Amino acid sequence: MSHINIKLLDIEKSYGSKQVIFPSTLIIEDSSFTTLLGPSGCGKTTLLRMIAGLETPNAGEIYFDDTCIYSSKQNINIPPEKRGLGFVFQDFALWPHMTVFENVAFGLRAAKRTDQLEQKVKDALKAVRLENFADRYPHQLSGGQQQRVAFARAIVIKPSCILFDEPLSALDAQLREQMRAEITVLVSELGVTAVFVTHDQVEAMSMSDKIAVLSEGHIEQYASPEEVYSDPQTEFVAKFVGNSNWIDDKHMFRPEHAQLTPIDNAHKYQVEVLFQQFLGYTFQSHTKFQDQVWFLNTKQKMDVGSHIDVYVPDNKVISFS
Amino acid sequence: MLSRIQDNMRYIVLAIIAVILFVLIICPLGAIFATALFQDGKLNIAGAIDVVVQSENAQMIANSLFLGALVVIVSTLIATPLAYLFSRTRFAKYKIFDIIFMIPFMTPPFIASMGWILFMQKRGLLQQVFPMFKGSEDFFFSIAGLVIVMSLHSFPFMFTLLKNAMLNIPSSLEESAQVFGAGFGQRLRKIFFPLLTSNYAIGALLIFVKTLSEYGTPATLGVRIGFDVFTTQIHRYATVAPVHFGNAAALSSVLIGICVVMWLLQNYISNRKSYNLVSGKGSRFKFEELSKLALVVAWIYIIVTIFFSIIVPFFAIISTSLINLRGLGLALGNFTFQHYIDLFTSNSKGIGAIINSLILAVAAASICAVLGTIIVVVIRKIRPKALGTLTEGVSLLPSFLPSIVMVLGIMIFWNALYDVAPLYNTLGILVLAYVVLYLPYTIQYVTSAAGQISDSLQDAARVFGAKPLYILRRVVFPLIKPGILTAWIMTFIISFRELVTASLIAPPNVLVVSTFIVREFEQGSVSVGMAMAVICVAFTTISLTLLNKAVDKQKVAE
Repeated sequence: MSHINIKLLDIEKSYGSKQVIFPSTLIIEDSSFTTLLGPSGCGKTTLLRMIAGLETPNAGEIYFDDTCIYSSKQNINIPPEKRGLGFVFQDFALWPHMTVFENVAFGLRAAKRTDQLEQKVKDALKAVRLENFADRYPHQLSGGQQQRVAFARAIVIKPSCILFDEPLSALDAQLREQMRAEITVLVSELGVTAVFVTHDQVEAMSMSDKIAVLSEGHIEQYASPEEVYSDPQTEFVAKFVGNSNWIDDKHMFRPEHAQLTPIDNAHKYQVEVLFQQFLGYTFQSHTKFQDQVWFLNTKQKMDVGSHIDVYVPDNKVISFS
Repeated sequence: MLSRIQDNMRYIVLAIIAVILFVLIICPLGAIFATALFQDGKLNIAGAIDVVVQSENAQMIANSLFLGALVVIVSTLIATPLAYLFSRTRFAKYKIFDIIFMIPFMTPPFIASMGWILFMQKRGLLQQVFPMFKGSEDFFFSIAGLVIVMSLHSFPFMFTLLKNAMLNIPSSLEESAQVFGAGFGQRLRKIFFPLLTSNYAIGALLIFVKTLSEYGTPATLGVRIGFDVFTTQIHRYATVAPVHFGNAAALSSVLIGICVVMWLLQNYISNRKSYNLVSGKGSRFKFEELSKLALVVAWIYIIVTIFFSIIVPFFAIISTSLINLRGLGLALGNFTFQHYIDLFTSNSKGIGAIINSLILAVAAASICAVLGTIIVVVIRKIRPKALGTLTEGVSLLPSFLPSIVMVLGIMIFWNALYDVAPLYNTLGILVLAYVVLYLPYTIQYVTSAAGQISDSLQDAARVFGAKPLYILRRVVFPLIKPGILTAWIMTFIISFRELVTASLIAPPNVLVVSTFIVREFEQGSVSVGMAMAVICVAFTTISLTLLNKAVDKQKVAE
């Protein structure tokens, strides 16, 4: 499969007087798995739909490699049906009046690429392990199977990029974890560029090469999962990704950096244990520091109400100005 | 012990209901088939077939089917663009149009049809205002005019049905087709229309049956152009001397047969093709953007539709009711309220008609409310369930058949029974006919209100010590009360302006509002007739508005 990079340049979007995307630039590298992460209403889905052409930006430019597919200045706007992308919808959007086979074959037929159609559809269904379900209708499938049909439909047209709009949110927790792995493996096997929208930070961290964290129409940070976690650029990112313990308004550290025994170059804080839960690999304590709640991971159980000393290395404290 | 008595009571009530329904519904239907098939006490199927195939009746049947098909097509053409605009584009926000487009459907067809006749006839209102339309009456007084007037009445039904079907298609189904390479035409062809097919088929069949059952428009407009259909022909056989009940019954049987086939077809389609379209999570709804040009075209289309379906007939009716001397036509100084004043002061027949209609409507609505509520409450708890379903099915039967057929059956049956039960030729027979025709509405409204009463609500009342009658009074009845109220007013409204029943079986010299209007229109003062029509529509509209207010208030109170 071919793959492309996607450039969003100074894209903005508003509905009436409500601005949902402030001028933003984002370069999605080819063959990368990029996640747009943020709470609901942050504009991540709008951004994805603008790449697909389902929403039209108010200004800016979008390029697939060197081809301009949208430009407000040059008055270019390639419609969705000409952009040649794969898309996996949140509600799967399988056509209820078509069999699994016809659902998957749709994109090939629409583009009149019907040579070896049967074989191509079968291959795609095989890739998602649904080769025996070709004659079923969507309502005869489970949620996870519907999800895989939606995925097969996206890969069969050999798109240069696949867009995912919260595709796992309709599934239950266990299935979600399984599909997470399946999608990641398949996408990397295909070598295709993938853009994935989610509000679930665990999904974002575990699947992506790069994460763009969005808040209220702004891209707060665009970096690898490791960087986003260990070096958050804004307070919002620090709070939204992972647990953060705030020393004051401008300084925080991640729970795993706290020690219960004295170490060099560290500050000491006294906290009160409020509540504790056993997670199997650790005890997680909710503790009180001034008016903040800190998470701490400890090996042994501690008494609720007890006061303990916590040591935080200076170089692990992240500051915001 | 107590519950045993309760159970027995329930079966006794059910038995009484069964007898009532048998006499009210099954017997008249039986009377039709018996009259059609037996002649002088002997089975005579050949005779019945002869009636149906004799050339004027064969022509009439062809007319009816042709008319039905054309009305379906024209209604579809009017309704489809509107349904699209009001479901998939920003027009969907203007909820007011949902009400506006119900007006033509709520207007009694015979009144709208009279409006059109007054507007289009030779030297009618159109030609008085625009003399250059001289000759347009030739176009209107033809099957084309009949089809247009009937379609302008029935399109709102198709509009509502298609609109709701379109609203049920999540945008993502179209968007996904778009992303996977389908252009606008391809999306309509491969996604949109296939998903609408079953709903559309159901709507088309309903409109077809409705058109075949309709009496008002064919009786006013159709008769003028010599276009006979089932309803007018059955009416003629049953009322014009020499009366031929046998012929009327034979044609009615054919009409029943056609309706049954249509209902079976409808049932087949809705069972075969129902997709579970409404998916909950993540379904978003996105309006199609309209270009400036498309927006202008859309507005023009909406306004033109409203103009023809509402403004023209109402303009004609209202202005005619205000014209002093018909010979002078629409002219300044030729307007008067005298016809309205006359109706309430000097015109005893007019006042009589209003009083008769009021009595009939109140009586029919009250009996329906009581009987319907009892039926719903009793059959909910009856075991085996099939017994309840059967009872309900029989009580709903009249809503699946043309009213003229039911009324003919009642006419024949009670005529034959006259020596035992002299109900025929009294107002009582009209009340009985209305109860038969409109009981299904009460059953439907009360059933849907009762649907919200889950078993656990009644169980809860029992756990807290309530006896069955107490539960009925304190739990069940308060919850179904809005349904009963709605049913009462709806029955009141349709009974108040009902035409076909009154014109078939009202006793001689007894006029109701609808027959008064028709009589004045045909051989009296058209203006007086139209004044009565305005009063009739205004009165029923106000009742309906009050009803909505009352029901809303109840909902808020809950």
